[in-house]
Amino acid sequence: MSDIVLPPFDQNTLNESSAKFGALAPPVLLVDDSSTMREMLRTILELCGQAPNTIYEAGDGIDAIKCLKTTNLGLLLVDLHMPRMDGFQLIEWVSHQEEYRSLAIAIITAENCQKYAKRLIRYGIRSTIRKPFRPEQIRDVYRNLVTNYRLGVSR
Amino acid sequence: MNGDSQHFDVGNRNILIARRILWQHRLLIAAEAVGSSIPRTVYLNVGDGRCFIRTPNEEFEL
Repeated sequence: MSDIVLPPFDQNTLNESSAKFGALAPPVLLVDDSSTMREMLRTILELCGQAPNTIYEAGDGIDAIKCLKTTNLGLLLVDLHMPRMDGFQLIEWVSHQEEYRSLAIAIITAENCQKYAKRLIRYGIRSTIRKPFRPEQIRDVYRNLVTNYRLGVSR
Repeated sequence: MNGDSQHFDVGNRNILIARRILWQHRLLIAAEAVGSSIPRTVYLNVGDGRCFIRTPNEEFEL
């Protein structure tokens, strides 16, 4: 049995150049208390074509809300365990704000998200990535989120 | 020697090292066909950049 892994993405989008793809992407907010993790995520998104000045960072939920209020964001990559205000509190807050309905959210966590599946679906979150991840996993989720965002697929 | 290669897990280590080197050079993997013990031949069409893998049982585009 061969172990062939093909990216779960349609050929048309794959053929699109990274630069072109990133140019159409909305601003992204990375929410993680680890600066190393944020740096790695930033590098991956930049490789996907996301312009560096459209990538914002927050160390916890409180900083993330501050950034949400001052910046017109489209994508949120959120860690679950953070000090002060964790990922769950953040996405719960976001889910109650009408103006953030179109925000695309992905969870990146070391925990098994299966046990939180019901809770995450309630918040309309379908994208989860488990740490440790491969850079390509982030790329695939990022591309899916951007495509959905561009198509106007709401959470 | 077959037992040795399983013992040292050479195949998996090669895959891991290849992924690490690609990441160190900031290259993301577009597609991959790795693992198991099937022979593979890679064809690269220099005209349009398309890449094919041929195995004894199938041929597919990456």
